[in-house]
Amino acid sequence: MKKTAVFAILLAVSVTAYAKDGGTVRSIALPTVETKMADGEGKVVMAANCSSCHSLDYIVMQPKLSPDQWTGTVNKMRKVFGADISDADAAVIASYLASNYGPGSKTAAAAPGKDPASKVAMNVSGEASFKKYCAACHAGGGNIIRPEKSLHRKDREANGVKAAADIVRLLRNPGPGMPKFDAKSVPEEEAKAIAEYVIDAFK
Amino acid sequence: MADHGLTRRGFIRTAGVVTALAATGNFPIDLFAAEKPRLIRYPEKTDLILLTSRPPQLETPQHFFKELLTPNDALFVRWHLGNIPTEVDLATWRLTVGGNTDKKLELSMDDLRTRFEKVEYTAVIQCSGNGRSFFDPRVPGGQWGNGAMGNTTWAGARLKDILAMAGVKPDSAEVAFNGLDAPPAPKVPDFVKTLPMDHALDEDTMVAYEMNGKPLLMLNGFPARLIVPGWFATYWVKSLSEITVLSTEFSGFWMKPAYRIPDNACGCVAPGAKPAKTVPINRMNTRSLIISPEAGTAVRRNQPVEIMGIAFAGGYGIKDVIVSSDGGKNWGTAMLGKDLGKYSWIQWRYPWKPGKPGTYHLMAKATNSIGESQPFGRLWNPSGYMWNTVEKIEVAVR
Repeated sequence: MKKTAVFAILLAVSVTAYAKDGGTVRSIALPTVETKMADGEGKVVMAANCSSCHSLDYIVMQPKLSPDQWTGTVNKMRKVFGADISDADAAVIASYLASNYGPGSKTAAAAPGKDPASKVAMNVSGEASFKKYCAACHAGGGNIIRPEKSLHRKDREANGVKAAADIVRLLRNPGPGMPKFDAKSVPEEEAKAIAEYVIDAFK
Repeated sequence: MADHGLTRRGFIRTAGVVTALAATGNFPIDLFAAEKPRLIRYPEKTDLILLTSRPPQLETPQHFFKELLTPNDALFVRWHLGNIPTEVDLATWRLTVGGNTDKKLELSMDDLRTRFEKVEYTAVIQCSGNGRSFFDPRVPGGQWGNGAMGNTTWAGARLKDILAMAGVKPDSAEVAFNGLDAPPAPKVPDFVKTLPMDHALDEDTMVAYEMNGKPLLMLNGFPARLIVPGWFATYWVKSLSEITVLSTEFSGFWMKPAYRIPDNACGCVAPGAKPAKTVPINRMNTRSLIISPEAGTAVRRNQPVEIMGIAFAGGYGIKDVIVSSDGGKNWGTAMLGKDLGKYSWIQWRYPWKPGKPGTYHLMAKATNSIGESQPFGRLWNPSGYMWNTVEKIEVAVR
């Protein structure tokens, strides 16, 4: 009798450890997360089919896959995972994905993770690239040819240079007195990094 | 992830519903997604990086790895099937053990806790695809940075003790594990994993019901999960409900063709190539990560800085970690921290005093107790598994 009582208490203690209300049930409520997808032909067909099994952030998360890779992915969903998608819908979905989340598509999302080295190079080397390409004339944010056009915010804004994109545009199509830096010599990422450095450094 | 400083992030926090991409205003979607990982708070968890919401795949932000043990609420989450368990009643939950056994068991949580010796050890849990987003060329799949891992003290019953109670028949080949998660459509293959018999009977394979001294969290496999220390977490079946001893080799989807690696020493092939022969992914390879300073941050010249990181290997312990602060030209040996056993990660520290301002590349390379180390080059396989290239992170000295 005594033994039974001890056992009952142990049972109660070990069970209550799990549920907040002291019962035996533990439960959670999952959040609903909406992912905004690119507008394009086939979006509705895609959403109806794909989201029956998984959230659409699975698509946004991927690197920019080629049309063949997207077709392969849709086929994998049908043949390997047994998704009930008609031939006609499969073609529409693959086309939507390739157009909106393939190479060259504007809306395709890069993945959350990138190679640490390459990402950081972009972040840190704005300064290094500025020194390499710009500092000969713009040391310290000045301008040795036309001092009134310095890189400091006041002068920039007076000359209509407000955003990083404006600086990139000037690198590509400079005014008189400044050499042109095209995408061959200063790739887009590096140009952006320089522009961001300028905005950050010369306030 | 080594590449995302917290200060650069735009946080979108949620108590329930979040319209994450719609909240970006003027930013194009790609800029948002590339620069600002979405943080989200799921039940019982802290803010984690959202990869996918259904089923949930949530990544641990790097700063949590400064701790020797990963806090439960910060441990990553990865499910495969749309229907994940959101409610478990321990009054009715049972772990069934059967198949090619002398008898069938139906174990309650109290059976697990009272009828078997409780064992405990610390082990790294790491997703097979941790670091997948670093592969070049890129591969489809969950685009994890480095945060699909953690270091946790697990407690539970030895699997071999449970199997002994059921009585494994001599002709048995494998043991299959199924959990409470269920396919979202009738033809989708259920998530079932198997271990070869010898590994199922390994002294350290465990059915765990505690993480860091607490019951498992729902999203990490409440009420019990398999722990296969030293092996990738694809085998660590969550919300375990069914153990089946098999007399023949299992061929379900999640063992074949999923979760397989090229059958060679590096588990790799030439970028873009298709492996001639594959085997199920198994033991983890050796890794080291620089946790502090974080990539992309700046430190002051002439001030001592401690480079701090972690290292782990598939159940063999870490012999040494070497560190370079000049992009790999010169190397020194790091000091290793407290040893929590061969399955745990170990912290390492390396003093550094940068003299001149500029850009510095920090690197770390670990070697385990049987001589396995890390490659400098990028190894590649089509599924993006087993990333362990020596990290090279850039910091500025001002």
